[in-house]
Amino acid sequence: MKVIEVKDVSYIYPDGSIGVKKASLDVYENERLAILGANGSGKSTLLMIMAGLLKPTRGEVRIFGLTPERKNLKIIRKKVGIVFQDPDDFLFNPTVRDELLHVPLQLEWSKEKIELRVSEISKLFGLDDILEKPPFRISGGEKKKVAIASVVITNPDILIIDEPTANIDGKSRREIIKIMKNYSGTLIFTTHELEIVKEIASRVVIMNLKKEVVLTSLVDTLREDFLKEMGII
Amino acid sequence: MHELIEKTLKEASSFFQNFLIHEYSEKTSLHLVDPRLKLIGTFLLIILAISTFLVEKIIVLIASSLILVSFSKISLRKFISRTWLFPVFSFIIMIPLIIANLNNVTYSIIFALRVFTAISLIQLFIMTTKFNEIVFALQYFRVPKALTQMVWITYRYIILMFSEILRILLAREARRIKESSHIESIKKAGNSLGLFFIRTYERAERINLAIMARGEITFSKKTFLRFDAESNLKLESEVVDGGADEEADGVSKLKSPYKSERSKELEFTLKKLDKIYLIYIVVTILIWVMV
Ligand SMILES: Nc1ncnc2c1ncn2[C@@H]1O[C@H](COP(=O)(O)OP(=O)(O)O)[C@@H](O)[C@H]1O
Ligand SMILES: [Mg+2]
Repeated sequence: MKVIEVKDVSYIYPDGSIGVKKASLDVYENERLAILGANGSGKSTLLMIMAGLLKPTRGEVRIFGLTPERKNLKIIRKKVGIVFQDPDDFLFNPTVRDELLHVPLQLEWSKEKIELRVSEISKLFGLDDILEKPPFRISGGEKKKVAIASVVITNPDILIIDEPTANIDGKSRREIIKIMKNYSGTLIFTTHELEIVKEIASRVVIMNLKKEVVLTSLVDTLREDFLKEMGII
Repeated sequence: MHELIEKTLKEASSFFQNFLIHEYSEKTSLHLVDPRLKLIGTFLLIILAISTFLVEKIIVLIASSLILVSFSKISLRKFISRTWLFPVFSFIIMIPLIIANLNNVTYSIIFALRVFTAISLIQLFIMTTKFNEIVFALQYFRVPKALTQMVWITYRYIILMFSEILRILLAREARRIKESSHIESIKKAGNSLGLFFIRTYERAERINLAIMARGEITFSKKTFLRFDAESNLKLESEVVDGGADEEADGVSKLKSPYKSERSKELEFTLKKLDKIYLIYIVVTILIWVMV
């Protein structure tokens, strides 16, 4: 089943720069899709469009069959979770705990459910020691983990993560990869690292510097020299 | 000269950041007092502080806030390090007045003391109350939504602003190899300032997108719920009946008798702290009136 359909979508930023050009692609239920491309090829913009956050300038996007209009946003937001590339843009609550509570409180979960889930997630991501810290006072790897945790906590049907492991190594990196691997819903992510693609993704989409989607393929048939040519690895 | 300014700017930025941002990991008893009570208490004492020029009355307030600091086991050093700059600054701006007429010295000192009192009270409040709790308390007192939203957004924006300033200054320092002339540095400062505005603006926009992505279409009361490990009962008493949404897991039902007992216990201690705080405020006001 198709969960997201992107048809001939272009996005132009208010200052006139092109974000994405005539992109078309479908995302299927429970697949693991990696979007590859050099810096500035439009990956982040495309993710924002697929999450219903940016409205395409031209073309059409459907998320679970819904267009990203105001009346559909509530449903879309519940079903689609997105983690931005830069956690500093994404975390805005006074403490890490408040970050985790942010969405569950809006969903009006019961107190018990919230407590249970917060402690589960905090254990899973190894956040127990930093729960009361302000999110802008923790390390880069921890920030990314908190950002992902604050979305994963509600188990959205579609999980979109922009550059999950960029500039992150060691323990946090392994933890993030493990969590992505174990995620049971539809997963969409961008990356520069071939290893991670091979480990997690089932299908890849490649974008070029003209901000076009040039290829979609299964991971097994991906050719490394092509990726080099595209400036991706 | 420009180095001095840059250094001052950097220090001021981290000073203000420290003033507004706190680690809530070390909880004192003052943290557990109901934010609404603290809001009223702080408000009343500030009114007292700015409505008098009598040194004795001001000293009563300073002493009382210092007593509160030590009773709630807040580190005095931390507290002073976060407040001292304001009275010093307000004294400095009075210097021209003093030069004009030496009689103004006492006036200036009292002025600085008043500023110190008000700032200390505010700092004590911010130090022990999370910003979302403050907004919650304001909303409770029917402060118009437009205003509470403004407080919230300003808070986020200020944090952003100072971290941008720090980032830009640090980045510049990291790559500064040779001393530049004054004119050059003024030019560079202008560039940095432009960059600063663009960056804060764009970051604010992206954060807005994040707020949207995380479900907040408009500011809802739910977002500002008081919810922390020690005082979950707030959630129960103030907010919609949690029992209304039947959870399918059944676990909640099993746990609930234990839960309610625990809440009662908590309620008691909380009430006790609230009462102590109330008494503290009343006593301070009485002494203030009497001296
Ligand atoms: N806020 C913005 N305003 C204007 N142009 C932007 C903005 N964000 C991104 N762009 C431009 O859109 C293009 C795609 O950027 P982006 O989606 O961030 O690429 P990627 O994530 O692949 O690095 C780039 O040319 C970039 O300069
Ligand atoms: Mg990007």
